[in-house]
Amino acid sequence: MNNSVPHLSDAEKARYEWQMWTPDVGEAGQQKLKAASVLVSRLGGVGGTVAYYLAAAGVGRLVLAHAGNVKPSDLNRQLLMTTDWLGKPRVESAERRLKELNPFVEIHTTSENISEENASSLIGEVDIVVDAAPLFSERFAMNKAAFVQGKPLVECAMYDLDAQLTTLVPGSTPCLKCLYPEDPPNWKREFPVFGAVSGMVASMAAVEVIKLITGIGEPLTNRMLWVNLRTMNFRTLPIAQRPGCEVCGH
Amino acid sequence: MKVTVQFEAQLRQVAAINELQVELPDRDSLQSALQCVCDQLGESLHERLLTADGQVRPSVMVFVNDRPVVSSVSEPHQLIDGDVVLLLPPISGG
Repeated sequence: MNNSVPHLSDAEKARYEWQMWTPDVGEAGQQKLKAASVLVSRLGGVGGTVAYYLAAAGVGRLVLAHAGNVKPSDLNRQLLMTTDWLGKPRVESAERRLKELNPFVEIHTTSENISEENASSLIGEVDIVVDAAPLFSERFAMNKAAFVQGKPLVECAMYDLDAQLTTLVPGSTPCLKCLYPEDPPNWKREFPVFGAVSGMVASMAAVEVIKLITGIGEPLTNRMLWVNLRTMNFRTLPIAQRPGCEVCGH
Repeated sequence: MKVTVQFEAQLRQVAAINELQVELPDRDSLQSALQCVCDQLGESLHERLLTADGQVRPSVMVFVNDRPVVSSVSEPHQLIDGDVVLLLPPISGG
């Protein structure tokens, strides 16, 4: 994390006043948020909402990765994508919305999804990674690069009215390959989901990032939250390192 | 003994049921319980849950009484009466 303490202007202090009232945050916590940088991949129902809340919270620099143009089927859940931007690049729509919300946040975009080729350099630019990607190949590439660079990875997922969240910290927790040692054979990129479901898990993922940056609370490490919104059953389950994991070697 | 098997996400969709209670011989293995469940609920569930040689698919997370369990044919996890097996399939963002 950037160790220099950034100055907060009067306009920034006014903007973040309510969250600076949070015990253990204050002006010092807000300065930590401003000094921090976060990669969010991709900017769909989950990632876009994570980015929105991180921008609202005043995270200083967001690196956003998402390929392709806005499609009608994005619009039930991808809150950074707008109807007037159909057919145009998703990252442009996202950047525009985030800048409208908070012009103090620095935004770097790339019109690529995460891959083995770009994961290392993009993760090298940030302090924390948020994995909201739909394909396991992308998630595994992020997991590997984040582990090598010792960067925390907030893992979010959803399906139907179910959602899953955990925070992976290299050296302290399992990695994604401990949880999923293989590319799941039956996984499909497109699946049933409401925007309210992706928004729910995204909000909690954003809280995880804020906790990691400010040091407040207890991150969801070595535990996985599984939420079934059909029954409103929230479970926090222990997760374990897998002996012989090909990435983290536990 | 009686064991309850719970399904989430795609597995719940494929099984078309939230949970199933199965009756097994005492101290039978996790694999036997899941094979029994698949026999009752169909081939689609079997494909997602077990490999051709009867192993639990590595991408399915298995918890017994909310504790993570890794079970194989060579080192089977033995169940006891009243155990609750939770099956979490892989899910992602989007």
